[in-house]
Amino acid sequence: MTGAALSLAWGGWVAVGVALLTALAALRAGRIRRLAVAALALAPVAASSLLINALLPAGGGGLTTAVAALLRLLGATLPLTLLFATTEAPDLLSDLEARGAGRRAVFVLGAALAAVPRAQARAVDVIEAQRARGLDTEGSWRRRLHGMLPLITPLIIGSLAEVEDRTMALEVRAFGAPGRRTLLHQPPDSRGQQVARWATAALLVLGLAARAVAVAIR
Amino acid sequence: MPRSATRTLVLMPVAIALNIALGSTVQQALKLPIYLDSVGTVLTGVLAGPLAGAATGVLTNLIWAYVLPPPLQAPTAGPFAITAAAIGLLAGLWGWLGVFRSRRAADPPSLLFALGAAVAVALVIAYTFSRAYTHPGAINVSELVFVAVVTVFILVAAWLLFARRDAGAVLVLAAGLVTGLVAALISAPIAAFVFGGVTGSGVDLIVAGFRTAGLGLYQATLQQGLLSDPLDKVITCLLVFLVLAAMPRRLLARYPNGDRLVRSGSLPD
Repeated sequence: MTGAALSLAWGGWVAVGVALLTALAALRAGRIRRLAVAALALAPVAASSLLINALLPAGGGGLTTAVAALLRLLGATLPLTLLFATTEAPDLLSDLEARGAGRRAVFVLGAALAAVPRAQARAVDVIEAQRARGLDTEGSWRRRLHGMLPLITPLIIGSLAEVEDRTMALEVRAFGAPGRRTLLHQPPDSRGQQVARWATAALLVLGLAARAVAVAIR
Repeated sequence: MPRSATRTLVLMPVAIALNIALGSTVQQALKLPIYLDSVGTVLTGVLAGPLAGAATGVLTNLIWAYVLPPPLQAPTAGPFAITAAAIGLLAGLWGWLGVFRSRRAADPPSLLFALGAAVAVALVIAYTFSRAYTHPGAINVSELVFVAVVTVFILVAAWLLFARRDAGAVLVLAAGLVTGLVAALISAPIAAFVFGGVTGSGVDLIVAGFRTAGLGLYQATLQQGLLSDPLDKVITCLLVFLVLAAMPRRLLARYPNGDRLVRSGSLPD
């Protein structure tokens, strides 16, 4: 996250450095493929940006601005992607909770991550069911506009119903009761990792302060 | 801890998943030029208040951009978390004001109030129009489209007010348009600064077209945003309003903002 923040603040060579560091770390962790796919996901942005800025007249900023913006984006996206690619969700959530993030925030994060594939599957089901009933998703824009209501309404209603079920389940398990909870699962944490964390935090503070000073001087 | 707080905590992840599912799967199925990724945010804002709505919006964008594995991952969504927060805050405001309450067959005072709100929004639109589209020379396509959207808004509002006497829908229409304007205003600088005006979709050509016509980067992204954001937010707000109006009262009353959503009195809905 330090890398992402510094990339956004400084841009340019810092972003390149961050991107390279991230790539090296990904190589070591065996996650280079996931990082490459994330970088590729930015490829349409890159292609579009380079093309447009190359074709534009000079007044619009040109290629240098485009490349700078791209580097900033890359430097911001890759470290965060690596973070979530290498951390198992239960580990991350347990660690957050151990540090006092609160079990409610941890619950929201964990439930959201688990709910996304479910919601997608339900969306696919609804789309196919409505298509079987004659909903037109390939016709003119007017018909597709009419098709919005039969597709979205069941999903919203289904979501509200799901909220009812889960709320009841949580309340039965005393989710709302006050008091600390004991954690069952402790993620591993070595001395070297702790030192690295403090160093990174210091680097972040220094880097952002330096950027603020640089902007103020100019 | 009050009971309704747990409900909000359960609503948020479900709404986040709804945003992502609608914004990816359904949007790809329909192929319309709208995003559809704020339905959950607006729903949470209206039912549970501004903070919950804003948190839903922010988390949706952050999770979508950085946490989800590809092919679902959309890194371009990350920086727009600020816009999503604003949408959630506004939705909370509308919910608190009771804008999303169902008001069918309204009495004349309600209709007048709705008319007043629509006129106020029309004035705001006119002001934004004059500030955003300042350039010498001929009228361009985006201006025409914006005027068309506003005309449709006025026509639909008039029909709802005078033919259907549905004051609630007019208020929601107005609220959606304001939300869309704010979203476009906030997204434009983000698109300009973080992405250089380019997000990898087909609309980039529109932005490029504006820039070759001599507009600055911020103005170009703003005009592009004003094309799709108001339409998307109006549709989103209307959808949420329609679904909430059809829900049983006891379901809605359990949410923190529930008493502002459900019409007080003994009439069954």
